[in-house]
Amino acid sequence: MPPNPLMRRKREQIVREHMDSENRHEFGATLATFHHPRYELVGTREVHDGPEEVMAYFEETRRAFPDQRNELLALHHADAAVLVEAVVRGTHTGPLGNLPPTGRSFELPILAVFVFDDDKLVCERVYFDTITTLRQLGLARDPLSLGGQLQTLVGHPWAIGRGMVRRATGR
Amino acid sequence: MTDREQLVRDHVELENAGDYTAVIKTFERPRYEYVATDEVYDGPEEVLDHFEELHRAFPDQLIEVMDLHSADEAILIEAVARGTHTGPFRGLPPTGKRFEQPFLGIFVFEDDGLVCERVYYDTATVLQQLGIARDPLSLTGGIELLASHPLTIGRGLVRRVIGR
Repeated sequence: MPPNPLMRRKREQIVREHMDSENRHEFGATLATFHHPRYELVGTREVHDGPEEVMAYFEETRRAFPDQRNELLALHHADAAVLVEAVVRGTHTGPLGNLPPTGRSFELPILAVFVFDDDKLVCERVYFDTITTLRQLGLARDPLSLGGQLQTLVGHPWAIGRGMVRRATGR
Repeated sequence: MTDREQLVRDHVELENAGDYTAVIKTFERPRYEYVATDEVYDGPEEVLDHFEELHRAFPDQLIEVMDLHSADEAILIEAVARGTHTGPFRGLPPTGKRFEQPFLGIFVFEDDGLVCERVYYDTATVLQQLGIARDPLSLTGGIELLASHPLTIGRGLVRRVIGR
């Protein structure tokens, strides 16, 4: 059933507080916007479930990008979710996994599905492109550009070689 | 099911059937926007060319809708596209590999006319599955990264050592 105006207002308030508190770096407040804290990052197939894992995830990303912030572009109310188009920006001044800081900035469009059970936020599922960020940090090239194609050939001779044989033999 | 939801379901089914002329007719004004790559295909000719390019590269591609969200000005689908890379794609010869790509499609409506499909997806996912990219945070990906981007990584290491 479509959410009534009251429910919409309540959900929108939760989503806005969630995103604003992230920008204020008040991650305790962000965590509190969840009834059950859970992140699903679709591109990387990462799941962070429960308060400890979600807090660790906040801490890891902010170690890598201490100035990370979001800007909400559009908000869509659906029956069981609020879907947000947003841009995330940040500067890579701390370690990210094994990668040392590059000092570069990124700007990443995302789509976040805030999943609601009634008026309770139970999951944030995020769609985004990992290469968009890596390219801006100077850690990846567009594989379809000339430089990217050369790199692909150098780094993946097997896959490309098999493909060329297949093309030549028509199979 | 509302008219808009039916239209979106029809759109996906016709795409799976490879009936691209009919897919284009589900639009009031045909337009695709790919957020990750900044690609835009606008108007019937560009959209048809785009479908044909994808069909040449991945002739068996099928889309499965996992979840459909109905909002005021848009229908949003969470879906998975699956296919096999058996044709050339922008200079890349066919790898023969299969991919499975989750994506989110926003079908934007003006009144009851579909005017745009905007797609969010991770370009690395399909490239990794086709065997032409590695996860840069994995060990082999990290080694490859070091080999192909020595300056960036080198600068980063220096910055870490000197603490700036």
